[in-house]
Amino acid sequence: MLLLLIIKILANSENTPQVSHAVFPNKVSLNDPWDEQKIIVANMESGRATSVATDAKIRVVPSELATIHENTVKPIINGSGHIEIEAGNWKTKIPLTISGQGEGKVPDFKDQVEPVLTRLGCNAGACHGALAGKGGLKLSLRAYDPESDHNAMVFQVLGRRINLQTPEKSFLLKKAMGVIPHGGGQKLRPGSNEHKLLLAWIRAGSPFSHGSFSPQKGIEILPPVSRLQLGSSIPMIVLAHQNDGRVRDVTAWTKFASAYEPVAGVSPEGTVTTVGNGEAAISAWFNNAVAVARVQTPYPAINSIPQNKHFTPETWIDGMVSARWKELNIVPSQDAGDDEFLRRLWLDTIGMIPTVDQFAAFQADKAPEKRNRWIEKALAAPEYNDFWTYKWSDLFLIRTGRLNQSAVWAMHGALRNSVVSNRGWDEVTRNILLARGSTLLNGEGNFYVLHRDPSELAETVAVTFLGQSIACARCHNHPLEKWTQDQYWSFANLFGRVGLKSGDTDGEMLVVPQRLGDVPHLRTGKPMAPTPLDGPSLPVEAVTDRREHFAQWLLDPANPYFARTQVNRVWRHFFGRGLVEPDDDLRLTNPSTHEELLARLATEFRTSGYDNKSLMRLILRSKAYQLSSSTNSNNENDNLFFSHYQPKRLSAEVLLDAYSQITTIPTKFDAISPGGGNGTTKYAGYPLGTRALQLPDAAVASPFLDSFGRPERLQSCSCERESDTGVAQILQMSNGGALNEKLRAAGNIIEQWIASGKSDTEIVQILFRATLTRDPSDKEKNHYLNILTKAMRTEKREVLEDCIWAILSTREFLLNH
Amino acid sequence: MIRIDTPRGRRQSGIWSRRTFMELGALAPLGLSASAAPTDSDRNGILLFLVGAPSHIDTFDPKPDAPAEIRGPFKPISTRSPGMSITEIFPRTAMQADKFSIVRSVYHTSAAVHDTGHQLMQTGRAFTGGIEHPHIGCTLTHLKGAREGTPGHVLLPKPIGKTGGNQPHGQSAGYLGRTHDPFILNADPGKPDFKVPDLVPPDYLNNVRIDRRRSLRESVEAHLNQVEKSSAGKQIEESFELARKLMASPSTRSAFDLHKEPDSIRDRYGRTRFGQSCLLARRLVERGVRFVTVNMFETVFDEVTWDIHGSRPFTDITEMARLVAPSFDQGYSALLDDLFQRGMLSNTVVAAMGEFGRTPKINPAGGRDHHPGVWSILLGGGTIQPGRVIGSSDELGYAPKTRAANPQEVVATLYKALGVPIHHELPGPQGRPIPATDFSVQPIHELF
Repeated sequence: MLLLLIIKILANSENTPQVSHAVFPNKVSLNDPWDEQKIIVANMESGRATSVATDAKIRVVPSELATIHENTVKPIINGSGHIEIEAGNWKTKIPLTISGQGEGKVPDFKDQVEPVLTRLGCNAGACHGALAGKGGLKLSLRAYDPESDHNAMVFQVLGRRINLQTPEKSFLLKKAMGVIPHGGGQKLRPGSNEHKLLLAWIRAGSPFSHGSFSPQKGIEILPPVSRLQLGSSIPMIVLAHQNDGRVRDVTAWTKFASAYEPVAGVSPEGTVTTVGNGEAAISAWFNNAVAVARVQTPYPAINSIPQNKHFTPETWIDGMVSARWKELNIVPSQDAGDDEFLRRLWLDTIGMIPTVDQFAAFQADKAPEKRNRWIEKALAAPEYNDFWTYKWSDLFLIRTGRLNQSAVWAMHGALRNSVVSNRGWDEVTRNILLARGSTLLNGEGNFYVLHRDPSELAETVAVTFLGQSIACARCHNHPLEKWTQDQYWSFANLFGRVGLKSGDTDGEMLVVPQRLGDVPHLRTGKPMAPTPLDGPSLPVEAVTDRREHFAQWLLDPANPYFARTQVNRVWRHFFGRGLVEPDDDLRLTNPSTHEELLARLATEFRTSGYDNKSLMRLILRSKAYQLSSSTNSNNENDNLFFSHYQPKRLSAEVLLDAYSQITTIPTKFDAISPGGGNGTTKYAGYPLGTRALQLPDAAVASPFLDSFGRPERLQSCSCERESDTGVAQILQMSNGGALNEKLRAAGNIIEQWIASGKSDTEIVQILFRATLTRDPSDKEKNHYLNILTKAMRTEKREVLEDCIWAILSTREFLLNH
Repeated sequence: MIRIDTPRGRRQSGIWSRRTFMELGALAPLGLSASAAPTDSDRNGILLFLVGAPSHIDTFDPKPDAPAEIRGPFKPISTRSPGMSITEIFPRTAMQADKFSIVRSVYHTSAAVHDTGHQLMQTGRAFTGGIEHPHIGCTLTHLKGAREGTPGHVLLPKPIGKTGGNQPHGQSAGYLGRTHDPFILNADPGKPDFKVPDLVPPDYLNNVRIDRRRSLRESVEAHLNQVEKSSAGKQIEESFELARKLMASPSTRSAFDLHKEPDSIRDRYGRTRFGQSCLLARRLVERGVRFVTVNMFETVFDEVTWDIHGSRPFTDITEMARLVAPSFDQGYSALLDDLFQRGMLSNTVVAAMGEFGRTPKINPAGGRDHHPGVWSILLGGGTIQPGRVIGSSDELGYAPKTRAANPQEVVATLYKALGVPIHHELPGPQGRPIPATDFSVQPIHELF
């Protein structure tokens, strides 16, 4: 925003790429004795920093104004001039102003003293920032509460920490310098800028604030975009902007973090080093403000694979995804091919393996728009309703325990209705948030039964509808995000007046908005004005249903979070990775890999009336979704830019249902284990043939589902579902009952094949089609036929059991690819 | 090139934390592969978890000078370590007292429910806000990986079940991810027909069929395009490989085969569930398993345990001495002695502890109730110095008198003994780093 590049383009001869230079920042003003400014002279390409210009020479004119050492300008006397920079035959100059030297300037406690304490680590969790403090001094963690910090330092222990008579001898400074024994050792170097600043503050009477310091407006990290070679480094600088236009270099007091360390790491001093290809966001945190820079490491260009040879963008999604490939030299995989597409479409959209008949019909379909026709079939399939009801039941945590059986069915039924009628996501949300009355008649109301604690409710609402994890801010300001503790408790107070009363029947509750009630701030004990995060506040005394106020803000087309959260969640479902990842952490310091795409999808979603099916149709029809999971030598390490399909293990429920479908032996679900040591109770409500994906309740007893990572539905987090495969799962598959018993069961598919007199050749073909949605290769066919034909009649059944087991345990089967 | 994929969710796979990665990146930006991870691979751990919570006064912190309603029925006896006395119900343990130390001043301030104590003692923390912290053994294997062909952490015989609080018991890998969960035995080693479920194929799957299955599977695996390159694909194949080794390698398989132990040794440990679990723990560690957790009991409701409230369904002090203490005495002492004889004690940390102590005053039912105010634990093996008594409780056994030690300090002590950096930052939920123990915590240095 405030960046002005100073770029001079070098003589542009025909064969050299456009090379230019830039200086960061574009002007220097030093207003306090402890101020300094680091200068970066960067080589530039298309507006992105590519490296540090190591040959750059920097000079202060006139030289008596300031010193310059290792590219850092330090003030000597007040005055103005400029800084001359020379790199090769390129030259430029930037203005320099110095003021406030030798004047007895007073540092601001909140914006200057606190950041120094944070940087020195005084208020870290391991030191005085611990909940109980340390050695008698308690500071707020990373300075989220300046008032109490000021009080602790200046007034506690009868003011002994500050010595106003002899400021240099203040207990505080002597401790920090290790002059008197200090558990944390020496933190403060005598004569350092930090020392100067703290001393000046004590000399001025250690005030909390004084009139002349303009508050911080925001921070900026430079260079905003870099494009580096693999293994190279570039320093970052961070500037704090104040309301009066003053700009300070706060790099030394900033905390840096990389959002994606497999691509780039960042040192505590702010030097970024690339370790992998792709792109990473580098976030800077200073004094409760954050800023983000992007660092790219393009993939090496591979001449043998012409870029985008197999890819012609068809939809706007393709256009945006392939633009990122071009930018980073990524060569996408080829198209997946029809059969693989069908299997993927079925698994991702309805949670099923295509049946042999469906596969045959698909192969027989010669229409040019064949894939699009089958996308429509999937979206209209009855199994779609089961699958997506299950998905949203995961999201809304339906399970026996906090809810009883009737409530589980009521909530599941309400969600299922909304999936069947493809109700807009805004309306689904509104029905949940504004639920009132009987939770059995209006199943959505059970959302409030599941979350009785208002702060837990607030956290769930934030994750589910806003994609924000605000839990950190419950106890302290979010350490790497803009949410403060005050915002947290203002948000929580939106839910301070939701009452629950027992209804007439077992498991029935009545959701009743109340006239009174508040959620007090954890620290102050006072209620905050109910406020939807950064939205408009409602007065505490307002009598409207606070939930209405929240819903109005949330579902306003201008809401910056709601549509993005859902769009990202659905994208992640299909691509295995969100445009923002994880999908419940859409914070500023975790930017999207495809911002433009995410924004466009959100807009389309909104204008479609928040129509989930239309959104899925857009995604499914994109060529990007239809790419092969096989990679080439260029993109095999790309996990961020959707240049190939990301294989994912079939989920517990899909896997178990596939076993049933393939063997034609249903799974028996006849008990419920609510968990928490409550044992298992028989339950007869699921007739034989009920598929795992039709279960309304995550507490239905099933060791297989538990083992393969069914979410417990106790916490709103997509991370609850586990897709890891460990030894226990393999042993279960190999030696356990779930699959083996279905293979052995009387009347299963094997007996049907044998009884119908199918030839071995036919059986092998059906077997592959029913499981892998493809025909066997010649080699596979020969191997399987060889073993089958050699088998004695009495052995045949066992051999076929082994054939099915073998295929169901391959990665090709276990993965959706 | 370094490429370690760390998903930023609550669960992370792979043995590399983000922090490790940063350190690795900082040390050597190029050319260091994951396999070059430094491991000090020698240390092992065995945790005997005394579910139900032993009464400290009736076991390892006798109070002979206290009034009768406090001191209880048992006399103190001297042990092989001068100055260390325990009660007479552990005669064999007394003979091995040169192989362990007692900490008599452990306490916690959380709720006096079993579940909370289980969390505290095995992870260092009580679970709040939906965050499940990892068990000590899971942190160990997360950092150091499993040794070739063996699971890193085995839990015998079953996870702790219902103990009244409806909360997790701190026996999983929590946010470290399912791959670091312990391998759970789910069978009773004390049973004559003991075997590990699913480790061995069911009877109807003979070797011919298993080979056939493998061969049929491999011919389809060979058809694969490049699915195997994906992290999900690699994980499946690695797990198949480890499962195959577990199933096929005679040595690994035999690690679980107690029938291979001579009768004399099996008798020495006692033919009880606990005794044979201790023996199995030794067998497993001997064959490469890094950490074994033995739960002495599965619940406190359906069996006679340390949970001696006196009233039904619980037992009382005298029944505990008759039915519970002997199997501990025999199993624990045999384990220490056996490890020592085999030269394994010097690199195997052995901890025996419960989740809290019990009320000093005997209740009208002849039992004692929950008391997290103070209790005693036993630590030995590895670099832990034996024969010491660390800390003390007051005269009546109500509260620590000297050197109070909270659960995090106990866990930090175990981490230190196991070679785990106690403040190592683990990948917590949403990528938030969580130190193995809080920065303010230090191990009980008097034990080293």
